[in-house]
Amino acid sequence: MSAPAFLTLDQVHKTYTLKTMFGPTKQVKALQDISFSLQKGQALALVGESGSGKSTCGRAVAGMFQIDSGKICVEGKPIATAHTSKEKRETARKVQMVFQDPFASLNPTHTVRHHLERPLKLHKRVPADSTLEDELHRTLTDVELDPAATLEKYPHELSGGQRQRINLARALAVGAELIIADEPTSMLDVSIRRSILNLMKRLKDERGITFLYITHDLATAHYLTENTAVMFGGRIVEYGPSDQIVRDPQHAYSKLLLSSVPSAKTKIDANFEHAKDFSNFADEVRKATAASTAPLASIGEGRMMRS
Amino acid sequence: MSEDRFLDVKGLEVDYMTLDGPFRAVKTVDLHINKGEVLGLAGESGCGKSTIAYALMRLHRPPAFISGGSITVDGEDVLAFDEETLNQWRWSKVSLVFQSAMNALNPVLTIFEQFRDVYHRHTGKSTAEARARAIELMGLVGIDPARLDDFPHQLSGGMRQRVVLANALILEPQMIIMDEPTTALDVVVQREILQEIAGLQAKFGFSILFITHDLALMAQFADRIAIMLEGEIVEVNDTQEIVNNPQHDYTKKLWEAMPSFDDTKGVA
Repeated sequence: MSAPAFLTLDQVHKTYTLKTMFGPTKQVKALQDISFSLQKGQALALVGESGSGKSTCGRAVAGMFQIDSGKICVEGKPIATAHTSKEKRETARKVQMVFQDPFASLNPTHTVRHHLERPLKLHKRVPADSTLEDELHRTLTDVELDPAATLEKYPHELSGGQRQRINLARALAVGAELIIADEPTSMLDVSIRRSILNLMKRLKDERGITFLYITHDLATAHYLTENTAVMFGGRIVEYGPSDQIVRDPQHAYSKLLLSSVPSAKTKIDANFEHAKDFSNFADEVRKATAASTAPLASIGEGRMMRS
Repeated sequence: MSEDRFLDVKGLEVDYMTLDGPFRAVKTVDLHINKGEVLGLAGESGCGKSTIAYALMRLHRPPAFISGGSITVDGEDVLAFDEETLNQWRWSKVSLVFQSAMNALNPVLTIFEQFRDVYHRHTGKSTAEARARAIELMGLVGIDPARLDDFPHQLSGGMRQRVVLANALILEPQMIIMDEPTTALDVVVQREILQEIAGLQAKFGFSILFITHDLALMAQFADRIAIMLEGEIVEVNDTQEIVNNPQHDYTKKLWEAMPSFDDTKGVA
């Protein structure tokens, strides 16, 4: 590896203990042996179904909870050892998160100005030769919104796409270097998904912002990212360059995931018996994947898989 | 041709009353579905596609009004039905599958009770008969009948959507309206459900009005596709034509809005 990675995860484990109201407590292995590294200015997609641990992984990187074992390093420094408030604030500044639901992630009682002013002030991001007003305008222009028209608006006056832009702006305002985007387009309308993806792509290519892109949509992952990690049951089952994973998936689960992506070119097989076969096949693959404890092993240039 | 038509909608207009006067959500829409046909209805949020679905079942309550046009299902004028006829007609002739399976099921009733509810109300048959029918339906959608006594929250999202689907089939309707039946699901589960729907359709031959915003998904499954924009249908054609040769600018735009694997990388 030539340049030191911006973000590295080394054998990260996290187990949740669920205390149910009735019955015994349950252990849920949310993250098991997660290791990967991400170069500055690149994007990595974490792809998997609900409950595969992809969001948990993103939240772990954002430092939203303590991991059980393993190490998460940002620019070589473990985030868990940040003790002083200055160090903590510095990590928080570098690593920002954009959530799935643009309707829930903005405070409905405050204007866009409030949402952007606070991070700027908290992280003291207004340089001496600039004013707060200038910084606000600059940030909004960065996400292709008209500052004059949006600054005084409340979240309910904005569309889903505009709100997601505000969320990105909020991350950019404090000078984020890594943005963890947790399904940022899944709640948006199809017609505007592309524009948000393009904005992220532009931020990556022109600003060198690093993205950890969490999604269940392989097509958008392929569009935005250099590398993809397919997750299942808290483990990474396959890792490699996104176009290779899409063109030539190796793991049975990656293949299943890929074959399920809707494509206008293939008609669905309208046969009652075959529908059962597909369901059974999907269940078998899931079971086999969950049961396997094989380690992640290299299967060629930059590619890894659990057999 | 026209005797094949199961559903025939002419000049349908739906208004929502607002403080600023009526807002026309559906503007003179014509559409038809033949017996055993799958019609896809696509468009972005707020274009009126769900409003059409509700209008077809006459589910609108004020401030929404059907203010014009006609809806004919199997030769009967739906807009002329009185409340009682309507209650009998719904579910036995045409049923509806909603987007959110969790909201479509009553959280305090077991799965079986949800089945019995519909079955008993429409046919007056006994609990034992309802049980037999429910077991049959659960087998049909591939869920262990032992789960009948579970509550909705004990099932996964895909299972819940299957239960809703089974519930829509209980009276063997001739048409099922599906309002984004797979949107809240994972890709693999989505594929399973879609395959299930296609299989059931092939087996029973009912018509489907399939509403979604995912054009690629729709193209895999629909016979014809109608594209909707701001309350109007801007293009209707065979699926192949919509896929290979879209005419309207908006249809083209919808296709472009979805990244596919064929997209060249690095082009913004």
